[in-house]
Amino acid sequence: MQQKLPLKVIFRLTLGIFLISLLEIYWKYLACNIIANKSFGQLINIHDIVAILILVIILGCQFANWLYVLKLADLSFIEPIMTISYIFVDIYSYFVFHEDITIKRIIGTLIIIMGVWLISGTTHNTIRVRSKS
Amino acid sequence: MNQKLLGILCVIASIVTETIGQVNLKKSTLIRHPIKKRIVMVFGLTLMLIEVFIWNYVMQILDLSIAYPLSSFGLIVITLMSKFYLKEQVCLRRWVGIFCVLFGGIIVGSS
Repeated sequence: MQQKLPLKVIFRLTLGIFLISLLEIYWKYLACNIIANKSFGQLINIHDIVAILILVIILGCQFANWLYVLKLADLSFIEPIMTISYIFVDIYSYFVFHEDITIKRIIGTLIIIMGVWLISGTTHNTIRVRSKS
Repeated sequence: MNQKLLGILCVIASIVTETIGQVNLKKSTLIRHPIKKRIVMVFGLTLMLIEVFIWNYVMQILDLSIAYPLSSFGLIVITLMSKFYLKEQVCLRRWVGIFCVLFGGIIVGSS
């Protein structure tokens, strides 16, 4: 079952993890600073519209990259690996939003890394299914 | 119906819509027929968008410490669907890895 992961898959997965982390952090920033306590009608100034447009662009890039990753690898392979974005969000939340990082959280993160390491050592693509379609 | 029960039901609904959405997006990459491919992709994308709205509602009515660990169970459902519907090969090592990610996610979410 051991299989060397192609560079293309590694690059796309890394990009996907980066985009998901960026999306979650930016979404939180928008929720706290722009969308909070405003109704839809109040979001009319150019600054708010640009900020929401940036969110839509990141979402679009993430979706396009996700579709590409889905072509390259099994869903059961990539879906758990994407959870590594939790770690980047945690690190960013600690430095930017000054959220606490507890021992429990560090242990949980290490277990996620171990799980991702185990999954990355399995075959990334079920060739049998590809050849059928 | 109390808020917590409604929240848990919404998490289950978000897991179901995300799973069906993801599986259909993956399925669309395997289909060669262009029209069928687009139909399956749009169906998957629509479900993913519905999931975003359900999740936003969950955020409003349920604590994150409950919502995140519960949503981690979606990994198991997606893997089962991948195995039985998409016919992916899921070996023991991957199952162990998925349970590690699930367990880690529960710890991180509840901390």
